Amino acid sequence: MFPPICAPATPLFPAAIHVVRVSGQDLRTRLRPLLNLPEPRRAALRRMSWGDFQERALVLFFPAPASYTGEDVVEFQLHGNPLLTRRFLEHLGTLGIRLAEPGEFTRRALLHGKQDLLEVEALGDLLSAATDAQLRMAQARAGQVPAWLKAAKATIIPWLARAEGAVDYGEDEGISLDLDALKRDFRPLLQQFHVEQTRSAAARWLRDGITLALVGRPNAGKSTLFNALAGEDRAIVTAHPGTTRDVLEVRCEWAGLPLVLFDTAGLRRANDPVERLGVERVAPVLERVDLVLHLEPASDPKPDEALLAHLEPFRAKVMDVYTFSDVASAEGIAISAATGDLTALEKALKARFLGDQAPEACLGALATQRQRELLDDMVAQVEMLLGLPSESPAEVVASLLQGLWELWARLTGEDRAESALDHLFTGFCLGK
Amino acid sequence: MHLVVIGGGHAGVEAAHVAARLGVPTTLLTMNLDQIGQMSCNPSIGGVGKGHMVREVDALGGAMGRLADAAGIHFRILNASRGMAVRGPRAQADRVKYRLLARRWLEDTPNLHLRQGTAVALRWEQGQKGLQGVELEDGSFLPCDAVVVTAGTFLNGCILIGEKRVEAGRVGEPASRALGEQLRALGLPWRRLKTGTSPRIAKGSIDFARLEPQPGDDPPRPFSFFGPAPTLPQVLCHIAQTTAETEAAVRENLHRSSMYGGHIEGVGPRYCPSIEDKYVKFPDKDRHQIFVEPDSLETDEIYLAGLSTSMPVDVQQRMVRSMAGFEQAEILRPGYAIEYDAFDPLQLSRDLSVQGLEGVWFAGQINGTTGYEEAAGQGFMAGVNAVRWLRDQEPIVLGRDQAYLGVMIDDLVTKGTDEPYRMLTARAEHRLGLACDLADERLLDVARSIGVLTEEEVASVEHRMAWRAKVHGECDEAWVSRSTPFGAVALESGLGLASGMTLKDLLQRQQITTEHADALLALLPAWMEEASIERAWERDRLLFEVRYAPYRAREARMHEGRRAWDQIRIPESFQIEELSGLSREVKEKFLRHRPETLGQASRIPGITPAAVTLIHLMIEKR
Repeated sequence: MFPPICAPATPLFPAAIHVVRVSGQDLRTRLRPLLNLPEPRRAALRRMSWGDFQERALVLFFPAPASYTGEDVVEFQLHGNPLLTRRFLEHLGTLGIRLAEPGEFTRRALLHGKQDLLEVEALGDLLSAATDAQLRMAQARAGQVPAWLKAAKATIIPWLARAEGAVDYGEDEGISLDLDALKRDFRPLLQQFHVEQTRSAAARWLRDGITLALVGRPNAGKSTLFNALAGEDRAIVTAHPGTTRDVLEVRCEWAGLPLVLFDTAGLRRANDPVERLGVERVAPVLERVDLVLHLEPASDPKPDEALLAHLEPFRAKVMDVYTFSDVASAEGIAISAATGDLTALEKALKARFLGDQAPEACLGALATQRQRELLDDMVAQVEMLLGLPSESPAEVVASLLQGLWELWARLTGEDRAESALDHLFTGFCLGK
Repeated sequence: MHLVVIGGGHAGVEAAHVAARLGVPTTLLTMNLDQIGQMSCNPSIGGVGKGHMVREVDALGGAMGRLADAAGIHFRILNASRGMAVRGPRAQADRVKYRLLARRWLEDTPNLHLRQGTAVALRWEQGQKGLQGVELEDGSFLPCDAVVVTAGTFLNGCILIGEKRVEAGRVGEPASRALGEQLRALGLPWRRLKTGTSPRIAKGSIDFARLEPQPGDDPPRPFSFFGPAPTLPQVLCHIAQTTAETEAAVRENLHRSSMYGGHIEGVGPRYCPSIEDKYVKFPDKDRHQIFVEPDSLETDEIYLAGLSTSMPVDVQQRMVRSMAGFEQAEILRPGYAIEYDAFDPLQLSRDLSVQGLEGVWFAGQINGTTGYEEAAGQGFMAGVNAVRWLRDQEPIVLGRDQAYLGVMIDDLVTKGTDEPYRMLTARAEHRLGLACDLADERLLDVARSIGVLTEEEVASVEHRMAWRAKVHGECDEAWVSRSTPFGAVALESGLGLASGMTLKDLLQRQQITTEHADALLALLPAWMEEASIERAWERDRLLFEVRYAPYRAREARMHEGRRAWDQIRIPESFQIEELSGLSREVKEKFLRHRPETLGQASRIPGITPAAVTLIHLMIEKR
C-alpha cells in the first residue's frame, strides 16, 4: 500500500553516530541483498557492504505493527560520517526504498493509528515539519506547553476578557480598559518572546548548520583558518554541485557549532598561487552563505578596495576578522590560527547565531518553521498592541488580543474553545 | 408550491415576509393573531452585536429594522466610545405599536396569508420524506412543501413564579405541547432552556425625579438603510440602583425563587442573568443598575430591565420598592422565568434545515438562542433558504467574515450551544470588518442574490458606494503642502508637513481631530457636492476606514489560511469511524457536530488542529 521509505533521523554532520530509519512492508525480504535482519527488537551488529563501501552498523528491527509507523521499521546506527551516510541512503534507493518526504514517517504513524494525536501536536504541525529530525528535536518538549507559553496565556486571557467586556458591555457596566496598564503587562511578555525567538533561531542554526564563506586578500590567513576550523574533517571534501571546482563545501563541527565552510580559493596545494576569483564565481557563494568571514592580517590591515566592493552588497552578513593576532594586536575579532587562539571568533559566532544561548539551552525551543512563523506573528501582534495610541478605542485592543490568543492556540494546538468568554462571565457581572 | 411558517414571533415574521416577497405563497400560522411581533421580554431592539444583526437583516431586505424605526420611542447608539466597528444601535420600541406594525406589515405583503391556529404535527408522505403539510389543533390540515418552525418558547413552555408553575408559552398564552412531543418522538435531541423577564410597573407609581434620566440621541438614528426616519415622539429612559434592602430581599428569599428553589432544570443565559444570579455569583458587587424603560406610548407600563427574576410576587414587590423612586411602586405584571424545549442546533445544516426531516427549517429560540434579533436573523435566513430549496437553488450561507448572521449560524450549527445563545461582538473574529454601519455595502452582493431589495434600494446603496469611492479617490489625490489649503489645517493641528503627503495620509494621523477632519473634508468637491448625507456620520466612517486599515488587514491575515478550509467540503460518504489515529473523543465530536466543511470541523471545540490536518489528508487522498 505505501512504498518503503528511508530517512536520516539525525543531522548529517560529522558525529559519533548517524541514525537512518527505514519504514515499509516486508523489509526482511527487501533488505535481504544488504543484510539479514536481526531478531525483532534486539540490537545486533551487522556487517554490510555495497559498492566500494563497507560498514558495521548496529541494527534494530521492529516488525509491523508494533513499530513507530505501524509498518516494519529498521533502524541503522551508522558511524557518523556524512559521506558514508549519504552513500548508504543512495544504496537504499537502489533497493527501491526512496527518501521520505518531510513528515512522512509521522504521517504514516498517524494513518496506522500508531501515534496519539496529542503527541503529534506537541511535535507541531506534521505537514510543515521539514524533516523527520526536526520532529525528533521537538520531542524534547513532547506533550506539554512550555512554561513561557503558559505564562503568556496567564497574561493574555485576563486582558482579553477585560477588553471583550469593555467592548460588549463596557458603557453600561462601566468596564474600562487601561491601555497603559495593559502595556506594562505586555512589555515583559514581548521580551520573553524575543528570547524565545533567539532560542528558536539558535536551535535552527544548530540543526541546519551555519554556512560560512572565507574571503580575504592573499596571505590573509584563509587557508590556516580553514584548516583550523575543518580539522580532521578535511577528509570529507566534496565538490559542491552546480558550482565550479573552485568552490568547495566542507561540513564540520567546530566548538559545538555545525558549520558548512565555503572555500572560495579553489583546491589548495602547497605551491598553488592563491588567486582572487572573478565576481561571477564569488557572488553566488556570497549570496548563499549565512556569514562571510572577511579576514585581514592584524599586522597589515590595509583594505583591499576591489574586495570591499564585492562585499558591499552583503555588508550585513560580513564579519571582519583580524588574523595573526600573535604577531600584532588589533581591535575587534582578533584570532591566531597558528597559536590556536580562536576564542574571539567562537564568541562572535555564538553571539551572532545563538544569541549567547548555550547550545543545550536551545533544546526545547520551538523547532518547526510553522512554530517560528507563529511566534514571529505573536511578536508582531504584541508590538502592534504596544504601539497603539493611548486613545485607541477598546475594539482595536480587543481585536489584537483576540488575534494574539488565536495565535497562541494555534501554536500550542490547545483548544481555544470559549475560554475568553468563560473568563469574561466569571470575572464580571454583566447583562440586564 | 406553498410554505408554512409556524409562529408569529420575530423569527416567524421575517421568515414569512421574505418568503412571500420572493414570490412563494406563504401562510403564517400563529396561535394568536393579536400577538404577531410581540416583544415578550424587554421592549427594546438592538444593542451591541444585536444591533449589528438588525442592520444586516435590513441590508438584506428584512423587516425588523424598519419596524423598530417606525415603533421606536428612544434611540441610542451604544458603545460610541468603544469604536466604530462595535457601535450598536438600540431603540426602545413601543410594544403595542411594534406588534400592530408587524401585523400590518405582513398583511400588506403580497402572497402572505395569516392564519390563527395551533400546529400539532407535521405530516410526511413516508417516514420523514415528502412533506405534505401541517396538522392543526382545530382538525384542519394545511398542505405545504416546506415549513419553517419558529415556535419560540412555546414548545412545552412552562412559566415559573416562585413555587408556582404554569404551562404557558408566554404569560397568559397557552403552551404548545403536541408539536414538541412529535419532534421529540422523531428523535431530535432536545434540552430544556430557561430565560426570564422582569416585573412591569405602573408609571404613575414611580417617582421619576429621584432617578437618573437617560435621554436618547437627538436626532434619533434609524436602524434601516432604506426606510423613513423615526417619527414617534421620543421619551426618556431612566436608571435606578438596587440597594442593600434589595439584596436582603433576594438573599432572605433565595429558597423561594424558582431558580434556586430547585424548580428549574433548564439552563439560563449567562448574558442576561436574573437578579438572583447577580447576587449569588457576584457577592462583592453591592449595587446593580436597573434600566427603567417605557413600554409603550399607549400604556403606562414600565419595564425594569436588569431585574429579571423568578421570585414569588411578594418578594418581587419588596425588591422593587427597595429602590429609590420606587417606594410606592405598583407591580402591573410580575416577572417570571420560563422554561421551554429547544432542539440541538447541531442537527441543522448551514441553511438551517433540519437534517433528516425533509422540508423542515428551524429558526429562533427553538434553536437555543435568546433575543429578538437573533431570532429575526435566523428567521430571515431560514425563509430565504426554504424558498431556495423549493426552487432547487443553492442555499445562501453567509461567511463569518461577512456578517454577524454568518457568525451566529455557523456557531450554532457547528459548535452547538449549552446555554441560550446571545450575540456578542467577541464571537466575531472579523469584528473590525463587520461594522454595522457598513452592512449595506458589505452585503449588497448577497442582497442581490437573495433578491428582496427593490431596484431603488439597490441603487441607493450603489449610489452611496460610488460617492464614497469618489471621496476616497479625492483623499488619495489631494496633496498636503504649504501651497494647498490642506497644509494650513495640518499646520494648525500641530503636525509637520512631510513631502508627498496626501490628504489620506494626513487623516490617518491621530492628531487630526474630528474638527480638523471636517475642515479638511469641506475642501473636497466630492464631499460637498452630495447634499443629502449626514456629514458627521460619513466623516467617522471615513476616518474608520482610513485609520483601521492596518488592524483590519491584520485581522484578515490572521484567518486567511483558515478561510480556504471553509471551501473544502467533507463528503457525505466520509467515514470517520474508519480513521485510525483519532481519539474517540474527536470521533464522537465529529459525529455529533456533523461538520459540512473542513472549516467547520476546525471550529468544533475538542477537534484538535492535528485531527483537522488528518481529516484534511484523508479527504484529499480520496
